[in-house]
Amino acid sequence: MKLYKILVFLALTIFTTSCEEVIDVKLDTASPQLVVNASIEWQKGTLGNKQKIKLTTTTGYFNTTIPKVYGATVFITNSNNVIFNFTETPNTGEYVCTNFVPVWDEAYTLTINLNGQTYTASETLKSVSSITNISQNNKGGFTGDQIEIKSFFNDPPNVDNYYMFRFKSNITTIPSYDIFDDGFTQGNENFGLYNNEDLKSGDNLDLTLYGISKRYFEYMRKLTAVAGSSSGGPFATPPATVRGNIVNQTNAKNFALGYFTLSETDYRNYPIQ
Amino acid sequence: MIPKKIIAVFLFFLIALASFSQDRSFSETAKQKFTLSGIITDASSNETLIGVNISIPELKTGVTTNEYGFYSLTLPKGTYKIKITYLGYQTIEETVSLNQNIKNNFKLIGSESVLQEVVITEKKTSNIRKPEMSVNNLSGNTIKKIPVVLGEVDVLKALLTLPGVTNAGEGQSGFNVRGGGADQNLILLDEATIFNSSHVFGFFSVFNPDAIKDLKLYKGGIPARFGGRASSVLDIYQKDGNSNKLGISGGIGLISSRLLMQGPIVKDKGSFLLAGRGSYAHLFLKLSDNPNSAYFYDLNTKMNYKLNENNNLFLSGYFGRDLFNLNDSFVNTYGNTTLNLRWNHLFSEKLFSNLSLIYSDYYYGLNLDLIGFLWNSGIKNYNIKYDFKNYISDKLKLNYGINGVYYDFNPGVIEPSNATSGINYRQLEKKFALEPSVYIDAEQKVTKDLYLSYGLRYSMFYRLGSSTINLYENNQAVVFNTDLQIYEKGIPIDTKYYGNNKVIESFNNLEPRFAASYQLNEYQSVKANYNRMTQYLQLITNTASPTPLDVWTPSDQYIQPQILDQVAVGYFKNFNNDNYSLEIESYYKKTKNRIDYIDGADLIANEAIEQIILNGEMRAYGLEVLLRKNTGKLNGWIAYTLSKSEQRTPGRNAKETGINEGNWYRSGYDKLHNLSITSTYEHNKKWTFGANFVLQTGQPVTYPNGQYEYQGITVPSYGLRNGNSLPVYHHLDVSATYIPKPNKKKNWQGEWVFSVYNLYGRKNAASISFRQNETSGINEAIRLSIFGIVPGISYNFKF
Repeated sequence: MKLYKILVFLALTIFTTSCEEVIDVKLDTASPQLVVNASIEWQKGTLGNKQKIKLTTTTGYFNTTIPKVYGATVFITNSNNVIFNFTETPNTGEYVCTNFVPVWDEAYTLTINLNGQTYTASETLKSVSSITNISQNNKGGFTGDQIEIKSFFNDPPNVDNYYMFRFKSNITTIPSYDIFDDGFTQGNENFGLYNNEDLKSGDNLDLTLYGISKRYFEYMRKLTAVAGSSSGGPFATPPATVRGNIVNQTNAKNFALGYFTLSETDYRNYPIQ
Repeated sequence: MIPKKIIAVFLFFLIALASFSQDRSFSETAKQKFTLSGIITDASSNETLIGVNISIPELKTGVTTNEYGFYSLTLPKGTYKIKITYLGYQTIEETVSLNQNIKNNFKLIGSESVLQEVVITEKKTSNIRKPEMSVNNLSGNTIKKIPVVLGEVDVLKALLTLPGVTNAGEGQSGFNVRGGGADQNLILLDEATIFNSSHVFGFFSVFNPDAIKDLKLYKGGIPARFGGRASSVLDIYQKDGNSNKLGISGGIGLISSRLLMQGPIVKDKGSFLLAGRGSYAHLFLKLSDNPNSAYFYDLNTKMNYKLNENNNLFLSGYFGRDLFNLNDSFVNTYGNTTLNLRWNHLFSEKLFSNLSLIYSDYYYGLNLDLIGFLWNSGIKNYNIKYDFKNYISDKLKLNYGINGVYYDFNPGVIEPSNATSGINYRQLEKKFALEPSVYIDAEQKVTKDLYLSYGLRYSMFYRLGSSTINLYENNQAVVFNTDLQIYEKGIPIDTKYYGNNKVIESFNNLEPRFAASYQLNEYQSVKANYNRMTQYLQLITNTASPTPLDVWTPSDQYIQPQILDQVAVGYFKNFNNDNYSLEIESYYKKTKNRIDYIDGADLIANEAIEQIILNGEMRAYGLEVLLRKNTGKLNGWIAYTLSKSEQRTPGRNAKETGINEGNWYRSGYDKLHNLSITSTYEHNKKWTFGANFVLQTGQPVTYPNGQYEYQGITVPSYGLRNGNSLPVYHHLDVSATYIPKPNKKKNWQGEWVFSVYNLYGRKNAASISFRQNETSGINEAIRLSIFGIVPGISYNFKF
């Protein structure tokens, strides 16, 4: 059996030689574009009247700060032409509203006036089921050694629903998203899935379930694919800038990135056991 | 219902055929002519030999044996000296008195006897006379000499040393011919279509090199008997098996072991071959202490039986599977199965026929226990083929035949994989299609210097029910959102049901083929060819190299068949006493209806593929140079290709932008420069050395040109598609073959092959990815390189 051991040893050189390395790559930078981060979230059990919209621009890929956009006029109207104004907290690029009125299935339109250009976007506020249960499995993931959290809810039958889970633990700086529909699970109990090999007992996980529109579902699916996965690999699809629902009414070519979305949400904080 | 038109065409064809074969006036001119015909085999194994030259020096004419070792030559009455030459075999010269039809089977004796001896049985000198160009041959023995990763001999990797052939990089499946997609290659193993040519996602090919007799890659000038794919044909023949005596050979390598058994069923009448290959389970993933495994195996079989002088039966089969198991939470199985029954029949010494019944199937299964998801998909096809080769005179040969293929596509069955799963059972709708075709082509010697080959293929395609088809406004399954300037999925306005075998959509195309060669002198010739190819099956893939998960789909009202036109010209020269040969070719090709995907298209388990596809076009052009040294202790070849491959999907009307703003962009397999040097040095009978060097432009990729923040995550933004390239790709590989007892011809004979892949440890980028570091939140560029320096060793034996 000695021969076999040698063979195995040599074969394993594949894995010892394959490697990932951080390298320097020179990249071009395109001229900055407006980015609209307008996610209206109506958490179950709250009035939902406090809302925030952030305006930024694109910047060079390796830059460490994201430029903010000041001095824009931002407001949302509902189908009865009631206006909800968002005023900027000075020099933050954050625009807040304290009297917003969320209504299920109501259509809203966002308007932004900036540097003589008018941007608009329209969406509908989507409702969502409640999180019913959260389970933890310490032998999860593909490798069987990750902490895996499943967060359950019931999908309403006979309606096409689209969901987004946002997971944010205390050990990561960036949230992760699980975006899915009920195409294979119509009317059944469904769940969002999170796993992380570095989680341990005593850590904390914030979970938020969003009801989202089909169009936002498509948008976030593309966005997370572009943001999270590798580009340039043979199995990677050709990446492209992901367009949202913001339309520049003044000059369509000078488009803005980002999305205007409205969701009912259900939130839980889960301490890792 | 199959339209009556097809049946009529077939009937007409058969009648024409019958009259053809009876029409003697073609050949029986005033001067009486007779036919010399027969089979040429290897003397020791009785294996038929493909492409053997049978020439009549005094008439400056000749033929080569066909795929079954058969030749036929019709000459005026007389006495001739016949010369039979085949590289690696001793030349036979014989005088034949042709005063009646003569059947003469020749047995060639190898100039050295078997077990990967140093003979290169390749037809190395360029064929100056025949119009065949844009075609490369490789024999099993040559393939075995090329150094490869871990010493695993690989048929597809050997192709990459030829001009005009590239792939997406290390460990990637498929190959690209003259800037075409991997889905545009017709891969035939004993005539049966292989849908996925790779094991382990592309690290190894599905062809067991021990069982392969010969392969031919047609990059252009594709004969009319082939059809169905746009770019190329890779025609692979399995060995028939030794009908003289029982023999066993095999090998032990780092990745897999091989065993091959062959022998007579009835001596000199029938033989069998059985070859198996299996990788060691767990090899790749055993580093972690998990119950993971990844392995592959395949089985090749062939049987042939000679009923009598005029009738031969062949049965060949292939079965291969890959299996991945990650902790039982991800189980993935896939592979090809083929079965082919063939009947060779000689109607006369001038009319050779072959009838084939072929079944082939590709299966893909996935079990994602993590989310309780079980998925099975595949494609099956049933193929009947009847081919004729009519050797009318030494100046004219006709090939004609009919072909019908029935396809059964299963895009997927989705099931819950365990009791607690929330997945509902669903059969994604199956698709069916029929592809009948007829063809005829002629090989004609016009003058002593001018050879022509011309033909026509008439192909038809019927997408058949039962199926429910989505209907869209203005027949557009993809809509353009003018506000956002993006393409979006259309919403069906209605559906239409088509019953069993009802024609949903049909296509038919005439595919002309033409090739000519003009001999400038004994050593030089110029050649040109043109071919049109139609491809009715589309591989739904959005990646540069195919993945096992990719799904084939038939053309229909939303997905048009790809139509390719290619022209190529070439210059061929043998010089320095045929020690060297030079081939220079230039080509231009254009494909209509090359499918392209809208940005962010999701392909997996998508039941309405038409909603994410637009029909675009593709073009490729290039210059190929192949210089070979054919003889001496040191021989080999240098292949250089300079080429472009681009695609474009313009808007369907003035308001639409098209994909990538409607501009031409580099396809995923555009490689401007591609240099490959392959050489062998025979030091002595015991030691042979091989080296292989590859240098090519990095693969086209799209790097970000900006970033922004949305909902707490950093998102890259991009400019135009494939505007960047990975760094230049190169590596040098070496091998040494040691035969301890080269003169031993009986009992146990062994050889060792040592190799080092990527000798100087170049870190070639398989990918460069851009991501936000999860802990620091800072953006980084990450290079993934797969192989460093990889040593390999294998032992081959025979007894």
